[in-house]
Amino acid sequence: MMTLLIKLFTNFFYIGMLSFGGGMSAIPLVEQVIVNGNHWLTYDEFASLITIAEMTPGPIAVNSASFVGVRLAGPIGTIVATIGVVTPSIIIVGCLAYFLFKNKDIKIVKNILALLRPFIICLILSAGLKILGLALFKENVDLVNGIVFIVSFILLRYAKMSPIKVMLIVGITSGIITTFI
Amino acid sequence: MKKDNLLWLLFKECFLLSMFTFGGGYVIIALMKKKFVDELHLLKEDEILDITTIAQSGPGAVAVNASLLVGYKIKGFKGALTCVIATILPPMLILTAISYFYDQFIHNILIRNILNCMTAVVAAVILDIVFGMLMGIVKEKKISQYSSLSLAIIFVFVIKIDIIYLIFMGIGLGIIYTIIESKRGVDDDAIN
Repeated sequence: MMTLLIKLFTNFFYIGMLSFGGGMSAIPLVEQVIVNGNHWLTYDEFASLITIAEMTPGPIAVNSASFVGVRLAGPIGTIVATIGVVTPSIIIVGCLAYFLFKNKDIKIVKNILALLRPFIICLILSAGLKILGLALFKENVDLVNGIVFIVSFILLRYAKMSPIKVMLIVGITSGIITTFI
Repeated sequence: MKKDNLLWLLFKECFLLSMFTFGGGYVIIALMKKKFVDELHLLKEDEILDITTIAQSGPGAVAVNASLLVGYKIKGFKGALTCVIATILPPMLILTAISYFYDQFIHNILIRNILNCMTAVVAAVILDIVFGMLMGIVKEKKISQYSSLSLAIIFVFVIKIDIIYLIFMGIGLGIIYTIIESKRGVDDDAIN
């Protein structure tokens, strides 16, 4: 049991350390470590893991760690694997934070961050458009999602409703309506 | 007592935001902007963008890195740890619960439909935030802002540059800019 836990920790530490850019880019790495490297999951199980990871909130790498951890070693496995996957972030991003926030008034740091701000806005815009594309265009155009999008946008922008409330109210009601009508 | 309250507030907010981070790291950025900048006024808009940049530069999930940085910025190292724990707890709890009955979960039509509609809501959440930030830039009516924004649009939507190269480019340009600036003896805030 102890060796399994250590293996879980080190392997997910490795995934956490090498997955840059987040999101989907972590999937091949997770596959390599979990399916090919350690045979912790079969390919079918891995496919359902990805489906579940996409359906549930949270980053794919963290979701994979939680899922594989609990399947192999129960709740303790989840804790160990998940801590493993975020430890590199804590160390490296923690150091970055310490250095950059402490030196925020150094001109170079200030200039680099200021130069990148408009790019970051555009990257967030592009992520939003991509998700909108996924929601609207499937085999056919998803009209329901079009309405859901417009209603949510109006509630957020003009009724100033909080995002989480909109997600809960609009997401769940429209899901229920499409299921039963 | 007041310090503990701030940590508890960070824990509570990060836990809630993490529970609603469907569809990747930028969702949590949008949610954090709304919560920590617009509602709680614990961060400035520039700071959340800088946090996004730094979160992208480090390894690991953007959502985890971003909440670590938010925590660090607001409450130092303790805040960072609090936010990371609060961010990873919901996926841990949810995935542990699901792992025991995942066949039923995957094949449940109601859950599928809710999650399908949720993508449209998530898109609205992100685009609403971006819309607000763009309006902020347009209102300022500064030529330097417009030009860097149009440059950013070209790089992100036409050239489709990878984030890693973008960060390297920013570092390079930032260094060059700083050298030129110091040679000319220009004062602060030229590009801010």
